[in-house]
Amino acid sequence: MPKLEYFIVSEGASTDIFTNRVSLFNVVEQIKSKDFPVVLPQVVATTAWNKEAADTDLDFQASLRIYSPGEERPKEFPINFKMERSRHRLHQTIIYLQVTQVGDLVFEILLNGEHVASHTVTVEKEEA
Amino acid sequence: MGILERIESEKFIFSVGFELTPNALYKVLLRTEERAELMTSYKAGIITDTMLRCYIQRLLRGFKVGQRFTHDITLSFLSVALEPFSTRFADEFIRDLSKLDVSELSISTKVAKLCLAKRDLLPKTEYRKFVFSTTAIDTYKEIDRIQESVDKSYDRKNYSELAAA
Repeated sequence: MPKLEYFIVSEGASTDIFTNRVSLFNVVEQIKSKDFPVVLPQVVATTAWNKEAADTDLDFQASLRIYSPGEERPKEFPINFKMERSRHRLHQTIIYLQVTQVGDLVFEILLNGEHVASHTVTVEKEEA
Repeated sequence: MGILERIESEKFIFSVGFELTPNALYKVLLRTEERAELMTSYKAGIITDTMLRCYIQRLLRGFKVGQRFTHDITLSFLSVALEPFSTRFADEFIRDLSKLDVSELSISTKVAKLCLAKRDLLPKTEYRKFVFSTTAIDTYKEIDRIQESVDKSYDRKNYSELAAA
């Protein structure tokens, strides 16, 4: 199974096609809003996976699970990939992420259904 | 003479060495000034994917079955020059060339295999976009609709105020 090198949630991400360097913009750690629901136009969950010897030609599924405060069920966004190279990066972009109340907004990453890592964002009410 | 014309010239081919093994040729091509020049031009967009595609198509018109391909070194050079780039064209070119099994292109296909092995050490990146909530989109549309009606009423108000004045 591939090993996770890193998992970060940011507002934007890009990979330079000429240098193959990845850039993450504005890591999401805290959200403050006067009003709820609040809608985040875009968040990008970036994961980088390192290949293990037995991973060649196998299919894997990295699933991003989002637990929004006040919501009973998490939303899941899966992506299937093959470890063709020694490292594989995934950018899972979520648009119009809606948060209805204060609390912890948790991004969880699962590989083939098993928990690998999580990233918690604190959602707070901003006093007027 | 432009870089693309130079890399197919006899002068360039003889300067590189015509009878090298694929490994040796790969190392020689890595050190050429032309490689640095082509990489800079490609990065700057002076040489585009379309230009390279047309250039390669033109070179391949000279392909004759049973004869060593005249531009075998030039194709090898292009593989080495494009190796570090993660563009779709670079990937397609190197991958397709490495898959060929024809004696006429005996050197370039092997050099492309070497390039492909090097490229496989670089990370691959995949993108996927998801919509979290269609309700949020409706909210956005609703905000736009309200904003539009506010703008209109503001315009009307301004107009009536102007008319009253």
